[in-house]
Amino acid sequence: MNAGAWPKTVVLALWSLFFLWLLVSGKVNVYIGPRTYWVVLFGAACLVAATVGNVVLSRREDDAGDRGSWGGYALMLLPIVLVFVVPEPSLGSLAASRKASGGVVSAAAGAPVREPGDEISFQEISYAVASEGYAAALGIGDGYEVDLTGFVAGPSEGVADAIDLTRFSIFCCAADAVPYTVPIRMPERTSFEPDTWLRVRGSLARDGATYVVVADQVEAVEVPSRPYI
Amino acid sequence: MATTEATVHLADAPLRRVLAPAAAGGLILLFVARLFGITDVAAAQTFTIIFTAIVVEALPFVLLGALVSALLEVYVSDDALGRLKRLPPALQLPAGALAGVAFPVCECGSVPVARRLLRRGVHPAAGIAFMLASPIFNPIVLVSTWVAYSPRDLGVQMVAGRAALGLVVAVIAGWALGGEATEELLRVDQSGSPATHDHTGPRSKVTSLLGHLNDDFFFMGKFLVIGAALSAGFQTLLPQSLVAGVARSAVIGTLALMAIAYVSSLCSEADAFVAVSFSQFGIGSQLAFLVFGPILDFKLTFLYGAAFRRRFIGSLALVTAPLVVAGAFIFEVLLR
Repeated sequence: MNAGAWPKTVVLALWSLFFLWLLVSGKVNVYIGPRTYWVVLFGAACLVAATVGNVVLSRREDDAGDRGSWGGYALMLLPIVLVFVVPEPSLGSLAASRKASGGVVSAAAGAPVREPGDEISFQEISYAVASEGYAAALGIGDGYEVDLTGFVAGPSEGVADAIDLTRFSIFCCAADAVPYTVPIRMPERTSFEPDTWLRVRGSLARDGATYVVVADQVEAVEVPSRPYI
Repeated sequence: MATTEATVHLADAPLRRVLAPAAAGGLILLFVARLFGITDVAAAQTFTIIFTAIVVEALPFVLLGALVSALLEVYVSDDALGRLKRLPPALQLPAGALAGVAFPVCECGSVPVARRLLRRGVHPAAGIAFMLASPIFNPIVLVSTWVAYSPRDLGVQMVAGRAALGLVVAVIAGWALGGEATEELLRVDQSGSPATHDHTGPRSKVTSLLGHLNDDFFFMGKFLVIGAALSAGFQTLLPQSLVAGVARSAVIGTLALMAIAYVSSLCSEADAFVAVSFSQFGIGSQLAFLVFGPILDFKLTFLYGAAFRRRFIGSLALVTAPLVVAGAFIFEVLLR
């Protein structure tokens, strides 16, 4: 292999392995939404093909492009290094505070299509807060039973004596994540650290302009393999 | 020996020009992090997720763009391009903008292709119009816009508004910025130099294709990484609520959403789902978000910087931003 080709081949090979690792480990769900899962499959195939092409052709002829620079190669590998250096990269309470606030997401991405009596989650509750018609169509109101899994974003900003339970929805990738937050009124004075994942079962109750979940059961759970909705 | 050293030196030069502002940007981010009291692991976790997600999402398209660019260089003859080049500029320009329909990838892929088209002699105005229009005026982007807005009964209006405004801005920007000669517009670098990739014979062509693909991919890739890092840094440090407070003002709200679009560096195939969540902003402001983001954002700033001379980005912002604001205002009035 000529001198100019091997650093590029190594960078391409490492990116190929990273894409394959994302797919095999299931970590792809942390970075990419289900709608664009194909991009990672497609990217893995392209990167593997480019790596193999580099290996095969650069052995034959001394022409695999310009030599490039070591700084550039190092820069190209920075995302991969960070993923393995930073402990458990994830979107949590900090990201929720930086992304659009609760009011902004209240009508996010249109109304999820559901039938009356279906199990509802963060998006449906947020949309029901924004649209009385939507709430009425699904029969969402006081006493509606819910079963939610999300992370603690902190004390509720809008409801007294409640915590905010949040879950992100993503479309393409984590950069476009939109947080959906539902205030939870705990059955007793229990406190959970921000970013703790909880499963909450209870029922909805109107609290001013919003809905709050009056929890019957709260348990700490592991981070789901698919952390986004 | 002297030739090799010169090659390495010239290939390093663009990166060195990037590293200084990148380092300055990093220091600013660290300062802002200190200011907001963010020095813990959560910030690193958030940054890493957003940073890596942007790169993972965009890298395959950069590779695809580099492949199309290399195919154009190696397999499309001068005769074939000559037919396009012989068209009068007045026809090349709209033809370039409309060609986005045939190139359904996001903005990361269109930059290397436009760069290659310009190098092969396509009129600069047409190349720029193609580059700006293709991330907006392509079927995948328009369908995703319709899907995002149809639950609010605005699917058709938003698709029509996005396509029309995107096309108009691309054509006008192409006309305004494409008056210069290609060599005045494009950045001087060594990649893709015909001297280093002579392609005669079938095997040489394949190897040459690989050479061009490598050059474009690595040249664009490092700028993508820098742009993604800055976008992730700002998304980690700055709350969107800082700009959301100005939503009620039509013009300032529009400018605020354009600023969010710039910082967020979203893929044009997904940005409609984010735009629709800014429900406290006017529909015109949301359109501005959808048109301005694919034309100019953090990662594109660095990708343009890799392909064009420095003044191009400032000129592009000066030409397109007022057009987008005006178009958004007209759209808002029409929908009232």
